[in-house]
Amino acid sequence: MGEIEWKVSPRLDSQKRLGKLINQHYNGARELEETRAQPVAWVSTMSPSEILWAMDFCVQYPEAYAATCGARHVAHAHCEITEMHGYERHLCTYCRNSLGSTLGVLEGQDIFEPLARPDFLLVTNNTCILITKWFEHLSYYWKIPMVSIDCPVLLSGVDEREIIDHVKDQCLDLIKLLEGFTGKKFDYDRFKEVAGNAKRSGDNYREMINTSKNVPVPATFFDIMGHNFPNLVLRHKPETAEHYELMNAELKQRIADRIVSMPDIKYRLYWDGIPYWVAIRELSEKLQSLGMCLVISSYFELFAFDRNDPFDPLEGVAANTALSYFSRSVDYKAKFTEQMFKDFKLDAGIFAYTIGCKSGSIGMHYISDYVNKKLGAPMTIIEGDLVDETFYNVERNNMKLQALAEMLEAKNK
Amino acid sequence: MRGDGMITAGIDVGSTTTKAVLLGKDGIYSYSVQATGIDIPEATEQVLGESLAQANLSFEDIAGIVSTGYGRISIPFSSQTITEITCNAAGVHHLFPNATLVVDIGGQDSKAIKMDKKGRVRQFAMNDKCAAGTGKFLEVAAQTLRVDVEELGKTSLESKNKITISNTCTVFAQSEIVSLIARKTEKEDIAAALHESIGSRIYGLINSVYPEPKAEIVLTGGVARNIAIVKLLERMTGRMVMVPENPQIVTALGAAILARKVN
Repeated sequence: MGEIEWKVSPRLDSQKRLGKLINQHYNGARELEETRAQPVAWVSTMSPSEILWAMDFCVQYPEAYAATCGARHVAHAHCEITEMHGYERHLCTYCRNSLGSTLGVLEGQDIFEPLARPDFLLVTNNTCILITKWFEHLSYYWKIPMVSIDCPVLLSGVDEREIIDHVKDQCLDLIKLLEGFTGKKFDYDRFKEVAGNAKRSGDNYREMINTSKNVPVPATFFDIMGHNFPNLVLRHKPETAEHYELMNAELKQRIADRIVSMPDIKYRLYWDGIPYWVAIRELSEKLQSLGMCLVISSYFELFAFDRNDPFDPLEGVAANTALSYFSRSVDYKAKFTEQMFKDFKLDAGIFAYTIGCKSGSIGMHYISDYVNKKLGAPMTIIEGDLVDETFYNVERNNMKLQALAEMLEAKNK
Repeated sequence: MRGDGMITAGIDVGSTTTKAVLLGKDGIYSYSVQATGIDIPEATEQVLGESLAQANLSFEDIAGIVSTGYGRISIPFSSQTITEITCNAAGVHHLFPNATLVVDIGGQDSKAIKMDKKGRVRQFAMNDKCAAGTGKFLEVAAQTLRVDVEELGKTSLESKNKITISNTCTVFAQSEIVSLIARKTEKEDIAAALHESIGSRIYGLINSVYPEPKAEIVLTGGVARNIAIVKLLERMTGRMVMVPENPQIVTALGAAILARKVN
């Protein structure tokens, strides 16, 4: 950081507001267990939830729940329940956590802060090809209906307009089905209002991510990643956009006041893949000890709903769903990652191969090699899992991270 | 102090063996290799003590010590810890200045390292957590076949019939060997199949660092002494394989070289 003096303050004030938003969401959902005042839907991450919010559903995300269980070190117990029911250990660990917690609840076991019981399931295959089968099993155990939205992989040369229209048709089918399910007419004005809130939230979310282009970053990847949650789960509410406005103001103030959240930053790093929730502390401490600051990740694209449009909400949600970053070809992702390295002024990359997420890991080798060849940035592929700590080897990954730091040091000599 | 302040030590604490190398301005003064066991500080003191005794030096003669390997952080007297990736590359570069591709097969892990001509690491890949593709795999297989592990490579070269070991997991492979023995399969054929199984793992590792098309392989680690692995890698990759005189101490040598810079 040269001659300039920077103050270190790890804690963001926005963390408190984030905690409040999360608690309100989960506590509100749990109250519905008693009142059943709203129907509850369980939804996969990049689904058109705006349609459900417009129909006054309470929307819950089993993937977000799995991440929480991983961070709280309780996911392994849920995974074991799934295994005891005969499921294979090498399945997606988010799926195992979700099925295990479901089976535990249904069997009256003591399960960590379970999601409110669902009435309806909506799944979209734009992030993963297994997820539809996972939700199919949830549908079987909860004995509730499920709608699956199909999003073809966006290989180069495909007509994106056709794909958006394909998803739009399915959204219209979903609306019709939900009208039958709830006995209520779909309210298009409410849909526009939801889309308007979601657009404001999404725009502010993107601005938050872009503050990390600053050198040095006002907040690291670890500080920001929790703030993905509101734009995923609560983007239909005006207070979510307000949360990001305040967050962005705080980040800009930190830049103006020369405040950073970690000391002695030597290198700016990219993270590829979903975070290893079970090892966040180990990773952040190790990286800090090596002077390596995690700045950004393509993982954030999973929460960036950039295409909402209050004037044409159906087009907006269909485009968000159809054009998911995770539906893109590996070539697209490689070029996108290269651009991120340039925009965010990154020195190196960590590719987090995930044993329980094969579809998220399959392209890592190609992408890391592509960017390495294009920009000469050193890369390492570490190995672990999102929520199952038995798949995580601290010493082995720490050695790879140290080797990455040594490569950077040698490169700069 | 003897050695004009130029004597450095490298200590490589691996999962199976601990190695020490004493390096002076004229090259390696002495080295020692011992089983790591459960007491890492004791093992390191022993290898360093033995190396010093061989060279007729004392601890005070050492200007700097770099420790490496999985137990690198357990050595209180080292000046710095550096990973085995960087140390191995430094050791190989010292012995083979033009080398750009290293395969290191140790007791419980195997690595492929791509370097530039200055010996700087450009890319590396390691085996996954499974012990298949490592020295441990051969050790377990040799025990099951009742063949000395040192002889397993030579035994495999006597094979006349090609068979396949379908499981690359060490534990499952062991049960497969037992069933092959029960079916009267020749031990030479089983040994050859085991080597093929390791070879395909290592071949994958090599490709994952995208080596230069004509780069020769420098093979290090204890398994490099296995002639069958050398021949197998040459056949599978179409590359020449070079083995240092003491392949097991290359990483410790690299640590001693890097200790000069630390110092």
